[in-house]
Amino acid sequence: MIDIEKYARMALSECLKECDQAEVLTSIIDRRRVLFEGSKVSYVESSRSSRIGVMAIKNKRVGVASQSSLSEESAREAVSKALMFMRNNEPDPEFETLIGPMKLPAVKDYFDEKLMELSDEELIERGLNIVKLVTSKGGAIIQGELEIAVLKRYLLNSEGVDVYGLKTRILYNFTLMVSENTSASEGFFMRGYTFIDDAKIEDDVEWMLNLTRKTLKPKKVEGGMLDIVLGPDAVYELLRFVLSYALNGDHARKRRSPFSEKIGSRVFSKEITVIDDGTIPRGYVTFPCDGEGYPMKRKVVIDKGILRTFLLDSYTARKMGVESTGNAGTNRPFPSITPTNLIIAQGTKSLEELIEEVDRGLYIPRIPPAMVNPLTGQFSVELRQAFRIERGELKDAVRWGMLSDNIYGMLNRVISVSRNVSRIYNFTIPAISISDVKVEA
Amino acid sequence: MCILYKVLGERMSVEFIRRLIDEYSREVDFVDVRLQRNRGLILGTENGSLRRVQSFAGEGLGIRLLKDGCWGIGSTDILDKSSIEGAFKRAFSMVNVLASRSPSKLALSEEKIYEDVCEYKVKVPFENVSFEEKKDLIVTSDREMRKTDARIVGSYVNYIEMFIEKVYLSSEGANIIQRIPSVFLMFQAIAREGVNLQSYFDIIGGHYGYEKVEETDVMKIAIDTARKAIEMLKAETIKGGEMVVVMDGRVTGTFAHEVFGHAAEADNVLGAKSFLSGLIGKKIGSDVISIVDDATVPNAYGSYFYDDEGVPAQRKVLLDKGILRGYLHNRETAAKIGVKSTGNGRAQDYARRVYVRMSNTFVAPGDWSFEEMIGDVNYGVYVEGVAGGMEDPVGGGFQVNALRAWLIEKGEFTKLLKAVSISGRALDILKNVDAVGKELTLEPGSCGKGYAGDMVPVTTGGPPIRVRKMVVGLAR
Repeated sequence: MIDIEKYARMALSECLKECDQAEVLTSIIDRRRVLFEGSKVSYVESSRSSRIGVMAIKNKRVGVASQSSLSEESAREAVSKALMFMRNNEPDPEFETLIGPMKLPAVKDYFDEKLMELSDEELIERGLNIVKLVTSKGGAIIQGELEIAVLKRYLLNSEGVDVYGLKTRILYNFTLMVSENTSASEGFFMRGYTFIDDAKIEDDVEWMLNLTRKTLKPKKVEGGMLDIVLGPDAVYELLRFVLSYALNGDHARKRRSPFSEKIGSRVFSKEITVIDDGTIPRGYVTFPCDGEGYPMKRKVVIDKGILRTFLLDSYTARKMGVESTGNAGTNRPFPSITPTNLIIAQGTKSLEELIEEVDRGLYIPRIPPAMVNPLTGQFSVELRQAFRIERGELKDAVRWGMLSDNIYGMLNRVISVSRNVSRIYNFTIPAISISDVKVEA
Repeated sequence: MCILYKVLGERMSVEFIRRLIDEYSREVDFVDVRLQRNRGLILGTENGSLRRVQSFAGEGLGIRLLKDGCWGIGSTDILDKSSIEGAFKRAFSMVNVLASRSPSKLALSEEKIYEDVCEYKVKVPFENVSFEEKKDLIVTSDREMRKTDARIVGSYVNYIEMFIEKVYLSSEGANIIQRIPSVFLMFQAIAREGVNLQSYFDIIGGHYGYEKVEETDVMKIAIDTARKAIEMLKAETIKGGEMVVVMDGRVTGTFAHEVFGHAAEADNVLGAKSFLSGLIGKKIGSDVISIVDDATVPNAYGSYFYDDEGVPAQRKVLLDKGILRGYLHNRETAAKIGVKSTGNGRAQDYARRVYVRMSNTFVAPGDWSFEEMIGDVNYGVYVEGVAGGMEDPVGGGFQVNALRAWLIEKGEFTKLLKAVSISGRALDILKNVDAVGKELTLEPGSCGKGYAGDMVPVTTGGPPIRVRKMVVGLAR
């Protein structure tokens, strides 16, 4: 077994022979994956990978090197390269110091012993049962993955940060198909959790099969400015990259965020509250500290549409004269900012009530991956699974059109937010209804 | 001398791995091993200063065991005897579990077995160029971007160099060593005027040494990138709808790759997830369009000598003057259909599965000049560069978000447009292509195949093409 602590300590000590400050992150990840193709389990995989990342700092010069294949030899090579780059790099005038050790919150439930004990037989059996379920319901698995992973990591720095962490993950995604005569429809979903018992794979598969069946014979969508109801999966696709971009404190400081200089101002409708919380039990990225050892926190980032804070690491926080929000990532050098668990606060109505409120529009449970421009919020995405709403009632499935709008603008025209939420990786998301959205037919 | 063999030789002999292959091949139907060693350097600037100096390195070994039609895959990134033995054992244990519960008839096509050593010839090795020279180049080009206009609020240049060595060994006797260098320069500029934020980016690269950088007018690309970001601040919007679309070579390439190429992957065809299924020999496009997947294009980022199953790289004409000629295969899909592999069995790295992947996929050049193509358009758009695209092999839908676009009125560019996307059904687009340009553009990128696939290096490209009608959408 690779001793991640030993190599981390060795690398830190070697580094400090030459530099003023240093940080070392070692990790090892064991993965098992079941791959699905053509309604079969076609591959089973077992892999182990390891890594060391070293950051060396002297007189504000920063050098970074990373090596996979963790061993004494690779740790020494990483140290040697980090020091060489440090000597040759330009000083970073904005760098001040690495952080020291801090009291970490008593965070619960960030790894799952049951997942760690899952046998190969149990994992493969679960995969085969999913195949049986899909075929018994008349569907097919085009492709899919079911993965469980155990990540161990050790973060050390010269100022006394010393954190060992264990994290578990179960991840799965399926592309399903339903066909009838000459018609075929495809549906896709993906999920990731820390706890195996949170992964309701079979329920998710049934939901997507039903949705895919309902969209088997779509009519051509009618374009116009429509009110729409976005399901949580569609909201996730639209927000997964843009929220982390817009809320990134470094982008804001450098005026590259559309939210720059908007603290205290309205950025979204009053129905939208966004919370970043790395401490919630069983959360996808829940952990006692962030990527530099700063305590994870809960913070209301957007409160009823008003921007309250950006997400910050200690480097950016110092520049802005505030405290870190505990959002340092593990990429180096600094700044390195990433959201933790992002929660869009639930509303009070059911999904059905959201649909009932729409006179003429669309219900869009999911969209394909959307390339939203994070600077402008503009996007165009094809409608693949959508339904017409007429006088508050769901009608035909529709396709062959595009949602072409601006996500920042859309979130200023929110009608309602549902009380039911879905957890999709690190997001907790309700359905959201929005007025006056541009649909191209 | 194979560096990987040297690395192994310090800890064990490569014969140790061959013995394990022999030993396990007595228990299963087929064994192959992929070894890989990567070394690389990333330099990155931000707003005129060097921001990122980072090296990366790694090595590893992946095993595939085929038993009763099931694949078991094991891998380790520690190349010592016990880790390698452990990876074999884990793969064997997992494939036994799967094969005992769900055997199948999966087989591999018969292919010629090769022993070979191949490498891309490098004129200027990365190690012959000093760190200072590389640093100065990107810092200076970043500063040139910033000098272009005070409204540039973000400028970035990234330099990446990489050297990969791969070894392929199999129970059939294959022994192939490939050495592949890669280099990239990426430029991005962000412009701001009030609340209006716009950006533009460009990328060059492929399987070259540092000579690619030396032969490129880096400052010109940097300045053009900044100017285009600034120009976008004035971009307008129009009413969308169906109209004539002229795609530049990069957008053409996205069409060739995302829609046509994915649908031509034989695993998609066999899995009933391709709109090209059952259309071999049929006329599905206009006479002027041909589409090629060519893994032998010299130095292109999607090129290789052998795929990850030891099959030589090949040039395949998939669509020939509108007639569908063939699909892309690895050994598994080739065996199912009863043909030979086209050398398209590729994996992200040693640890991941091998499946059907494209290489360099592009529309073959035609004989129209760009001026002729635009001059004929009464009302339409010219779309330039790709901000994103997504395949839909089942439904044959195509959608691309353009980096920028121009309105064409009476044969002339009249307005710069922002946030334009184009979409349509692939079979309609293929039939509606009425002009194909002469100038071929190839752009390096990565393909993920679907929603959660593994990434492999590819290029996409083509000449400008004109489509008589497509849906043009403009985001707000």
